[in-house]
Amino acid sequence: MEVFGSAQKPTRRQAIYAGKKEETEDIFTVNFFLDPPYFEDITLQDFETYALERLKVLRIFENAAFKTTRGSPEYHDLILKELPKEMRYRYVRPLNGTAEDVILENRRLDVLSHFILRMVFSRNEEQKRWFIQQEVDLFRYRLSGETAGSVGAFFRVSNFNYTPLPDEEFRNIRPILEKSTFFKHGQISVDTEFYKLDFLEALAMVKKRHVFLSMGYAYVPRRLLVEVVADRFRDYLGLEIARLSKIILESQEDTRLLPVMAKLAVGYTGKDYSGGELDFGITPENLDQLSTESFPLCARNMHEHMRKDHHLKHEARLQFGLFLKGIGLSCDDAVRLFRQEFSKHGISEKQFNQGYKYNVEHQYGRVGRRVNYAPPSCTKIITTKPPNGPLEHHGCPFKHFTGSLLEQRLKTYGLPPKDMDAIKELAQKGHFQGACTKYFEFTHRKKLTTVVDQIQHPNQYFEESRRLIDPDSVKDRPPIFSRRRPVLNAIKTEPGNSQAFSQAPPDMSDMDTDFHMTDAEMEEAMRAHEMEVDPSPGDNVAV
Amino acid sequence: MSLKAPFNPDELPHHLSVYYRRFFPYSLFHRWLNYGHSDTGHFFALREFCFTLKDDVYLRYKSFETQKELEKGIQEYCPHKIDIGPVYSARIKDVKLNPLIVPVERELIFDIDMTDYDEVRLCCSSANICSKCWPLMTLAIKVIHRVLTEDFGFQNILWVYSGRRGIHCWIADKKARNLKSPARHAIIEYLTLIKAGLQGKERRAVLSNFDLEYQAVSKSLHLVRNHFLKNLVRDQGLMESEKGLAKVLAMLEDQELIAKVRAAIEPISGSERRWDKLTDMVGDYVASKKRNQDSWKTSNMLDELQVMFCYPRLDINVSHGLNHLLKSPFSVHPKTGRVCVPINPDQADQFDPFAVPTIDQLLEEMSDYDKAHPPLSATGTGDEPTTVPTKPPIPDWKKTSLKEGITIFETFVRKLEINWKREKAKENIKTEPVDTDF
Repeated sequence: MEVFGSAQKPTRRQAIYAGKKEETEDIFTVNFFLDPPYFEDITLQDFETYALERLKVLRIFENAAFKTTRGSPEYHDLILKELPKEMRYRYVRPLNGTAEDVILENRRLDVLSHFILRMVFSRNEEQKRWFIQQEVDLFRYRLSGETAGSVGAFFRVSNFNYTPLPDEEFRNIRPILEKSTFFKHGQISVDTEFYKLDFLEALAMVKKRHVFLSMGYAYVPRRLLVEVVADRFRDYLGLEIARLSKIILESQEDTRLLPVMAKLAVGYTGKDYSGGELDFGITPENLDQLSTESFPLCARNMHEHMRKDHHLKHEARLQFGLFLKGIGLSCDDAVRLFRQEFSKHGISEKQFNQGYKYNVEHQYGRVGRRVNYAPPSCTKIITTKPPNGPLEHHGCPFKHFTGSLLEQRLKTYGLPPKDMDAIKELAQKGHFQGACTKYFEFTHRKKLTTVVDQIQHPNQYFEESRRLIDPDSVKDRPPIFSRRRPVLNAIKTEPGNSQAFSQAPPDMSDMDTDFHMTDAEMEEAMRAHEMEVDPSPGDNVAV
Repeated sequence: MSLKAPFNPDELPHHLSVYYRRFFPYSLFHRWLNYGHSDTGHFFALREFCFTLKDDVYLRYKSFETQKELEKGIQEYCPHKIDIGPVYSARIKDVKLNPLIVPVERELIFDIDMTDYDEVRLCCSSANICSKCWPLMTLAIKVIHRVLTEDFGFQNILWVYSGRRGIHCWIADKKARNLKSPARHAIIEYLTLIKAGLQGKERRAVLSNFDLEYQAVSKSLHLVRNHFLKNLVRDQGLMESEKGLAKVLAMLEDQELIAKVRAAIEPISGSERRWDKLTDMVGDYVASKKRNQDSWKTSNMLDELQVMFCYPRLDINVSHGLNHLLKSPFSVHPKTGRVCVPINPDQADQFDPFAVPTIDQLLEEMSDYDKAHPPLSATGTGDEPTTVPTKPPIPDWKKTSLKEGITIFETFVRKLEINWKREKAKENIKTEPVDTDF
């Protein structure tokens, strides 16, 4: 079937990308994926096979970044160990003396599989983030494995205007470069190549003062240039995927491809748990029991604080509310639950209806933008908005609790000291999801059985827990696809057809911020009841 | 300066109306903010101005098509304060209704406010300044100006006294105006040595051994050390004032060390000799910790201490977005009556905030001048055809001490003009031969 439709004669660059190598000794594996693959027919089965193989590679990268520090020797060892030989030759570095046609074929598969996964993972923000992160890691890994010659060839082909600092200039400023360039291990070596870039291209290093800066130019050693190019790749991929997801939303082609794509994406990054796929028979009344049995620590913490303090701050209401929605608490029940609790905190019926009720209904997509928001995944909880001060209870306990608080809490829940130490150690090393997984395994006395070998999502934790504790109570609801909104079929589009963009459907990519704003406004209204409002004009005026 | 008229806030509205008619440098102002665009290009009209009227009434989203319109607007409202906002993607007027109109261009700006130094100032606090603490601002200009010009290569930089307790910096190079938020953020971070502590901890300076070697930091530290020794240790007697000594000792953090140093320096008289003793003792302390695993915490504590006392503290919220308003040069500070005059960074040491003319003083100087130099036409019988009395041959600002500030401003605008002429010439050269090449 036709997946990519560009029947034009390939440009010179495309030709090189698709396989015609430039100079024999300068073969490079790394690819910026500026151009889509050749126009060709592939079977649905191949489509899936290619995608699965690349997914395996990306999973290995994810795993390595999880277990070790990116860029460390252990990271490299682990990747080499885990990658099966033929994949290593295909995706990382071909064997010396590999026949030309094999290299061409590898490159074809590389390009095809990358573009297939781009489509697969363009369906929601969480998946996009996951895919981009892994592709950037793969890109960086490949780029840093290239030789001086092949890197140069890659830059030429990709139209990057990076040329090493001429010897004379290098000699002149070498003493300064030695002092003003950050090297983790050891000193600058004589043969380190430096590149002179506009400082705007090296912001990450400028920010940390890791490279020498003069007259608007950053002097970047080759090791760090890899980061510059990887950042560029990240930006580029982000933009391309944003464009792509608009096209796919509009596209009619969904009867065969979309189900395959959905399956691929879900199997590897987890579902989005926006609610309702499974029925656990949840009511406000059995929440306390479920909390003790099956809530992950983050949700249990918020639940217990809600029961104890009869109030939760904004971020916690958001995180906990969406979690409850994800495990199937109905909107009306959620309103009832919060109303009951908050009334004990002295919030009147009127105040509740004015502020909080809208919040809850908004989360369920009943009011406002009517978007069915998904509960945040572990990555999102860990990487965004840490709790600020002792009154905020959202976030990930393994990341945001102090060591002693975590210990005390685990003790209260009856974990033996040995298990506690194992969890604490993981948390201290920054493996928060690993710690959560251990917590799951200790409290359930069973190993996690999913495809994914660690907890990725608080709702996944809950689901896995219910399946173990009370399998009979888990009933499937109709799959998510029957509830997908009808695909727009007014505009027939092809990738690369720029007209499609101007008629794009409403952009959903900013739903988080929008949601937050609406909510913040509500909060503002509530605060007016609770405390005195700062009377300043509120505009950004410097005095 | 004995002639200086004291500032009288009650007269402000009246004086402002004279000031905006006779002193405000509209022409230079328009030449600056129009950035060499043609008059038909409507570029100037995309800029937001904000007027603050009496009793803090804000009029946001004002915009003006031409210099004439701007003049009319300012003279009509007679604002107590004028702020300059960003250049928007489309013209805004009075209210910003359309969410699609977004800021697209903005000078890189810095705001340094003396109140941010309160924890380390010995002499004044909050809005007050004196000749003892003002050198902190001078140091900030020197440190930041060097980084902006030498490291980032910016050329068109305007430093302005904020009228009371701080300074503003406008970087107007084309590249600076087009910076996106992450780039602004990176520049601020590059300049930052004092970081807010995690989760409610106090802010502090952290310097690694690498930082000390890094060229930009080492150049800044050189200035900081000089300032610390001269202004704080010598001029302000830091080590002999109870308040100052307590602050210095508290930054040593290790209680045992603090007690030891205190005991050792209290018998010594002389601020500088005490400081020398302290440096010796801290040096020994650092050496004794060298083999410890967390030696990085202590190894540069002396420099960190000095940085805490005087390294520039930026209000980062002003700088990292595009939409922050900043008080316009030549606005008048409504509380002090002082004009926000530009500062020459090469002579930052000579700038004295207390010598900055107040609005009352300007009016007085002008009338003194006019008395001393009666206009020629007034002596005649009025035969000559229409000598317009509001447009005398010498501009009014030239008769007053505003002259110096305007000269700095004009130099800044002229330099910009030279730059964009050069750029245009370059573009013309670039576009021509390309056609013939192929």
